[in-house]
Amino acid sequence: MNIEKSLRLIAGTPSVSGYEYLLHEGIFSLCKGVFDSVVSLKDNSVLAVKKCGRENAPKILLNAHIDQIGMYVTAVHEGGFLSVVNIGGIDTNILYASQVTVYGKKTIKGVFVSTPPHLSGDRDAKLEKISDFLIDTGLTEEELKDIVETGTPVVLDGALDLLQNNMISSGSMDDRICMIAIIKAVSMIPPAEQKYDIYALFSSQEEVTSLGASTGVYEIEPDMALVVDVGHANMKGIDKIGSLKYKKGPAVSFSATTSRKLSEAICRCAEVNNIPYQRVSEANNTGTDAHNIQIALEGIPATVLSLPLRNMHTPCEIISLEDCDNMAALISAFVADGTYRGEEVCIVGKS
Amino acid sequence: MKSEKLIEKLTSEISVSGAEYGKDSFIYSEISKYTDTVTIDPMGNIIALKKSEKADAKKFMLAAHMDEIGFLVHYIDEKGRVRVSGIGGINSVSSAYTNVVFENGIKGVLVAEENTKNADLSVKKLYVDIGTKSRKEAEKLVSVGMRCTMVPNFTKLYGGKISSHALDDKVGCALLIEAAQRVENSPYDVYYVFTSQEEVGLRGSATAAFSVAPDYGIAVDVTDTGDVPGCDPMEVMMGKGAAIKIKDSSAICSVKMVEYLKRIATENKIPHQLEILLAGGTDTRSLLMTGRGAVAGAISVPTRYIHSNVETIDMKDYNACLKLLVCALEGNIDA
Amino acid sequence: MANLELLEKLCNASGVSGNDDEVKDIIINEIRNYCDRLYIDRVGNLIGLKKGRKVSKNRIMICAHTDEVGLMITGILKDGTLTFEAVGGIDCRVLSAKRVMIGKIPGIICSKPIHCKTAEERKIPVPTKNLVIDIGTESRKETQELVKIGDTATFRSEFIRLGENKIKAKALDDRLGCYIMCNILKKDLEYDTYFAFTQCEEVGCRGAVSAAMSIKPDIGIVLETTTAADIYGVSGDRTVCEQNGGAVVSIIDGSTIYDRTLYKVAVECAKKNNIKIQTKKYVSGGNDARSLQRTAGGAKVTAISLPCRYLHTPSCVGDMRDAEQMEKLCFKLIQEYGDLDI
Repeated sequence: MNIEKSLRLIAGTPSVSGYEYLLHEGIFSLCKGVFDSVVSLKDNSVLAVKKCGRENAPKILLNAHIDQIGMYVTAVHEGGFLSVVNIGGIDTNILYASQVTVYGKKTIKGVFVSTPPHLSGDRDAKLEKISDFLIDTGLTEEELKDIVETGTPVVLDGALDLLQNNMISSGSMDDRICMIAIIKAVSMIPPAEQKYDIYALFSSQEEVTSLGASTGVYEIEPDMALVVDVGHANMKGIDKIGSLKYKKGPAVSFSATTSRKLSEAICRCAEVNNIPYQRVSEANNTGTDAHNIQIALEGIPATVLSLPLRNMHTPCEIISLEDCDNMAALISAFVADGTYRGEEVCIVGKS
Repeated sequence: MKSEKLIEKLTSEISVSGAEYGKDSFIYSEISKYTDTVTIDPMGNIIALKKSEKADAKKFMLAAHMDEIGFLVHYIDEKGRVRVSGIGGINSVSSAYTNVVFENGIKGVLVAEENTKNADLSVKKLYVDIGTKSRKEAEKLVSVGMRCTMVPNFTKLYGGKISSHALDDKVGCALLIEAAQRVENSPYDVYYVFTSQEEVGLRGSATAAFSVAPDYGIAVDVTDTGDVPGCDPMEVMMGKGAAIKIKDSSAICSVKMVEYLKRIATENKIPHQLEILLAGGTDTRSLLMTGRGAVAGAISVPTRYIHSNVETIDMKDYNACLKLLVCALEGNIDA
Repeated sequence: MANLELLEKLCNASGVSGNDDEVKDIIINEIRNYCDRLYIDRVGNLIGLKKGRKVSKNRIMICAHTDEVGLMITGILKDGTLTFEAVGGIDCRVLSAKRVMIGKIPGIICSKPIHCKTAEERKIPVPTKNLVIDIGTESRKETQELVKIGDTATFRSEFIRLGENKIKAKALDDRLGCYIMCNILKKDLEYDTYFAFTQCEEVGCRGAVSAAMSIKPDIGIVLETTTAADIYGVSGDRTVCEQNGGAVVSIIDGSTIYDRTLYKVAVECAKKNNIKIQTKKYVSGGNDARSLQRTAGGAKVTAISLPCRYLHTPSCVGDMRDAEQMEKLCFKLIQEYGDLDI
């Protein structure tokens, strides 16, 4: 399975939180032949299952989210302009003069207004709020009203670029790249080696409420969970400490809110199989679906594997293909290893 | 009972978060008339079930919160002045210099310390003067832990508009009661749930949704409008009909529910509009996210001046919401 | 819409001030067969003479500039990323998270993730000096093999249609002017006319000075783009000019008071020929006209501009209906100005 090709296959399809179903067809075709069954859930998540055929095999949840940050239309104005609200965290510094696609009854293009100098006062002093921004569509108000309504999704355009050293830049790599890594990992496991029943949950709305992961866990009732998400790669302006390094493999999370035993088991597995990995400490909230998964049901051992990525939440997110391959290798090795069996309720007194 | 009367009645009973209506309340007795069973859960939610004639009917849960924002006594000083904390998102400017009433009927005036500038106005600067001059005197009337809220001020305005404190969400409660009265032959087991502690973080609805475990859900609440000076761009206008929620800051509604409500509204010629609420959350989140989650959305009554003591709605919108709610419960979402 | 392929090629070409051979090559290819003389002068202006049916006593020169605003690489950091400066006036707010091209090497202007920004940082734009370009390399050494200090970078921005009549692209300023000149060059003209594709307008209207010195025109027509701020919520003179309001014929801008006779002739000519024109409602901006007007013995000048939204960003938006009016007016004015007794 070629990661770049898989990315390109779904690159043009939007999946702003709440509209993930638009991506389902693409996901189904990526999953083809890899899983026993693939279904859409009512919250717009996709659940793909591959059983190992062993009795009493633990269930492992492999989770990546399929929603992307974006915007919803909030108003249509005279002259063919749109107001929008952000869905997920968007830095307004990246909006000026950016190209967007508006997925209304028809798909149309637009650009964010960049206030001309004679109107914008002291330009270095202040960024506008997203509600002060406008999108110029080149259409008339009437034409526009036929195409969009309150809630129509809008996405920042970002083409897929191959940079030096097999680095790739594209929009919404957060977290599609990790979904692809999971599918690749599952496709790599020889059937005889698989030790867990695999439940791959490609979840909805991580960027806003973690809806898909929160409800999906109740659907699956897993014994352990690996949340695969992107993490900040080291770059100018952000702290070296705590950020990830490219090409050093996936990062295993150590946090008060992730399972230490599970994390250690993954590190061990990486070492045994000679797969590069890095440790990352996130003292409190990991900011991923793992946060909710860990305390769902009666508690689930959960941890996070992060893929280094720069420029998160912009249309130019950058990842290393080498890291993706290592991520897939590690997940697949862990599922084949099977030593970790989850946690049991441990009776320490009279029962 | 006419809708206005019902709303007036609901706004006149105190139900600040954490001390909502119980078994002897008007809501409890009213909803009992139109449903099969009524229970109150540990969080204080009133859960009323009307079973469908159909066997194996799916569960449809409606949620309107019965709590309102208000104040909690936390200290009485030696001069008999009552210091309060806010419960829920208090608008201090609107709260200062108003008549308030405690749970036991004692009245007072909520005022600000002298020389407080508007910009510095917060609940900390407010106190209730109940006319007493010593702590001893005051403690005979009110005690720490007691709640107070605005004195009922239901007012009819021109052209079918009404104004009152706590329309958020007494109009939602009124809609549930009236819907229960009208719905005939629903294909669903309908749970009319009057939730507690919504104003302090959607708390009651979470336990209610967990125990009901609905397949479908609709929250009924109020929403802001984009037709008052100085507001952010928003398409919802007072008088333009029932608002079908797309998203608010706590949740994005299920596309399936949004499409269903749009379809029902169009088929039945019910005036409606689409809503994106920029600030504020609703019980919709609990419906969507608790347990396995439900396919859920929300119907909102466009409301001006939310969380002030003069919240204002248009009864035309109220009636549109009612009709939409009834039609939605009688229709088939999977059709 | 007219021959948009040529405009697309022109806009997509890379031509930051001082480094615009790619643009000139496209133009040379396009007009070579229509010029009676075609040369590149000592500072890089591309100048063509096209003979008309007659020789006018007024020597007419039309000009548009080939350069665009862009970036210049100023340094290579240890981690392989590149520092840069803006060439020409670029609002730093339009730079974060944009795609660029350094010659043939694609790059990304890095943007610190919102998660890592403090509440204060989220309110102010990142200044240009704090931004870097990432090309995927991991060390200074690796980058040095690919990019040199002083290389220029342009925005990468798709040339697309917005609605029926509008287009969005980078560098419409002033490839649109170059495009109209190419179109006019291909027609039969009344009088001999000089066409100058000028250099370095964005850094002080410099190329036009030498071009004017060598051509010594009596009359100069500048084809340009100008700010249109006719966006929702902006009204009155603050809009400067409006899209689909026709070609903008200038009376005055920030650097030139235009010739009154030429202006009147242009207005009458537009009226006679049913050409839609407008004037600027706000004194701002400047262009090559200032160089033509005040070089050597001086020249009378006119500027005809396209009302263009979001100038100097990766996403300029222009209305092709206005471009058509510009082309018609400029073509007619060659004759009208040639006939003039001045």
